[in-house]
Amino acid sequence: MSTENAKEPSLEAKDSLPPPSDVASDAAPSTSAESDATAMEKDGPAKKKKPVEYAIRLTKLTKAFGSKVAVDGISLRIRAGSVYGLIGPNGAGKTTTFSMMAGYLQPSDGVLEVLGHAPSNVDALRGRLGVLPQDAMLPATEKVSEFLLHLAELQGIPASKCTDAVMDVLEEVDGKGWWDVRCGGLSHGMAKRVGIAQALLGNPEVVFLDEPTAGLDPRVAYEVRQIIRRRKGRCTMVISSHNLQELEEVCDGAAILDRGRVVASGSINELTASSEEIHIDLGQGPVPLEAVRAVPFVTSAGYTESGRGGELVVTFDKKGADAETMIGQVLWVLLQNQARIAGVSKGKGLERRVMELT
Amino acid sequence: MNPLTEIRLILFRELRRQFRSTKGLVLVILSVLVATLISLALAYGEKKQREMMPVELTPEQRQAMLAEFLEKTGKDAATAKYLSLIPQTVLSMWKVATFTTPWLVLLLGYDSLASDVQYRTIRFWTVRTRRSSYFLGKWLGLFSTVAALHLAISSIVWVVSAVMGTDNIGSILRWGVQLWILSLPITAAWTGLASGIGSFFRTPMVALLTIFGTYIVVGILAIIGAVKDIEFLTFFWPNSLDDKFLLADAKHVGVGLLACALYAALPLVTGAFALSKRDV
Repeated sequence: MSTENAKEPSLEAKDSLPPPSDVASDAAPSTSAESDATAMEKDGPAKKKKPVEYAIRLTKLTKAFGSKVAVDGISLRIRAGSVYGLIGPNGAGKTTTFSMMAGYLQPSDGVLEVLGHAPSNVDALRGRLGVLPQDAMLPATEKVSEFLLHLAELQGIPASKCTDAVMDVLEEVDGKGWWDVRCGGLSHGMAKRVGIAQALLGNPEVVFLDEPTAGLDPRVAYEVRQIIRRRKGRCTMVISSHNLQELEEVCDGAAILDRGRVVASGSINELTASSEEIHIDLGQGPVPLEAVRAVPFVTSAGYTESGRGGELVVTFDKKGADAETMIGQVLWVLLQNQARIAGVSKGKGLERRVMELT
Repeated sequence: MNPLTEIRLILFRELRRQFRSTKGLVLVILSVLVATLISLALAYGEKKQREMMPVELTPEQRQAMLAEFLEKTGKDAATAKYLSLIPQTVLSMWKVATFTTPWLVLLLGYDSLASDVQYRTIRFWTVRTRRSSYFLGKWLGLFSTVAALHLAISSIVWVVSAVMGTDNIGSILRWGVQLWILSLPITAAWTGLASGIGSFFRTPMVALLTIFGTYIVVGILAIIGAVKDIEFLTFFWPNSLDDKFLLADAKHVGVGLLACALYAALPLVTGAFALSKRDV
C-alpha cells in the first residue's frame, strides 16, 4: 500500500513498483511501459489481444475545468484481472477520473492507457472495453433488444452471433423478459441492469462501472453485486462507488481519492490493515488488556468504551502470524478471562479508513 | 471496423429513431396532409386554367405558350424551353417542398446531437464508434429523413396530377424524380448547416435557437445579395440555388452543386472535428 499526502506530491514519485501479487500501485509507470504501449498502437489490431500486466495506467493525470482542477496529477496502475474501486467523497474526482478512463473527457495533462491504448483509440479498444456510465439515459423509444443489438454490431460482434450475445447478457442481468420492452418503459433498477448488460456485452476485457448500485433498492443492489461477483476473475473491473461496504466486498484493491488526488491506494487488505489489525466488540465485563498484550506477536492493544461495551483493537506483527491465527489466540485469551465477545472483524474497515483519510 | 460500416450502422439506427419519434411522426403526418391539400389546389388550378382557354391546346402548344411567357419574364430561351417541359404542378410542388426543407431540417435536426449530449446517451456510443462516424451517421440520418419527406411530399402531387389528368404519367414521373434528385444537394446543405451548428451545444433549446438565428443571418445575407445583385451572397440561402438547378446549362448546375457541397462540408467537417475533441 502507498499513502500520499495531498500536499506532498513528491511522495508519489518515491513509491516503488508493486510486487506481482499486488493489485495496484500509484507509482508512475516506467518509460519502457510507455514505449510498449506506443509499439502496440503501431502494431494495430493484429496484436491487440496481446496480454498486458496492467490493464489501466494513469500517469500524472490531470483534468481542469477552467480554473478548477478536478483531478490533480493522479497516477495509478491497475493490474489486469483485478476488481478495483475508486473511492472518495463527493467532489473527490472519482467520476472525472472515471470519465477520462472511459474516454468521455479529455485529460488536460498526463498519460492514460487502457490495455495499452489511449481511451480515444476506439478501434483498438472496440469490444475490449465496456462502460456503465453513471447517469446516461437509455434511448427511450428503442426496444431493449434493438438498443443492445445495435451496440453489439458496433462492437464488431459478427451479425450471426449478436442475438446470442445480447440474450446472454440479458440473462446475466436477469432481464430475459425485457427483449421487447422499450427502454423508456423500464424502471430505474431495470434500466441500470440494461446499462450493465451493455457494459458486459461481448465479454470485454475491461469493464468500468460508475456507481452501479446508486439509487437501487437493496434487493436489486444485491443482484447487481452478484453480477459483479460472477464476472470477477473474467475481466478487469473498475468500480466507482460511494458504497464502501460494497467495494470492500467485491474489490481486490482500491484508490481513495480526495480533492482530486490519490490519498491512498493498494489492496483492500492493505487499505483496511486487515492483515495486521483485528477489532473485537466486547460486551460489558472484564477487559484483560494486559493478557492480550502478552500474546506473541501482538504489538499493541487498546480498548475504547462505547455504550454497553466497547471495542478492543489489537495490532500485531503480520510477519509473525496471520490474522486468522491471531484472532484465535486473542479470543482464547479473552474467553479464559471471561470477556464477553460480541463480534470480531479483521482490519478497521474501509469506511473507517476513508474517514481517516478524507 | 472501418468508419463507413460505423456510419452505416448509425444511419440505420438514426432513421429508425427519427421515424419512430413522436416529433418525426407528427411532422410526417402534417407534411403529408399539407402536401395533399396543396397538390389538390395546384392540380385544380391547372385544370381550371386550361378550361378557361378559348380553344383546347395540345401539350406541345401549351409548352410553347409557357416558354414564350417565361422568356418574357426574363429567362433565356433555352431555360424557358427547359422549364416549359416540366409539368407545372410538379414544378410548383417542388418549389413548395424546397421552401419547407430548412424548416423541416430545423425541427427534425436541432436536437439530433444536443439531446444525446445533454442526457449523456452518447456515452453508450463513444466507446464503440469513432465520434466522427457517430456525427456523420447522425447527419446522414437527418439528410435521409428530410430527403424521404421531400420525396413523400413530391409524390403526392405526382399521384394527384396523374389522377386529375393534368399531364401524362410518364412525364410526371420523369420530371418528378429528376427534380427530387436536384433537391438533394440543397437538403444536404441545410442538414450540414444544422448538424454542424447543433453539434456545438448540449442543450437542445439553445441549439434550436442558434440554428434559427443562423437561418436569419444567412437569409439576410442572401436578401442583400439579391438586392445588390451580388450573386455570391445569395448562395448563403441554399434554396436560392434551386434556380441554378433549373437552368438548362451544365455549368450552372455544376456551380450549384459545388456551392451546396461546400455549404454542407464546412459545417460537417467542423462539427465532426469539434465533437471528436470535446468532452461528452
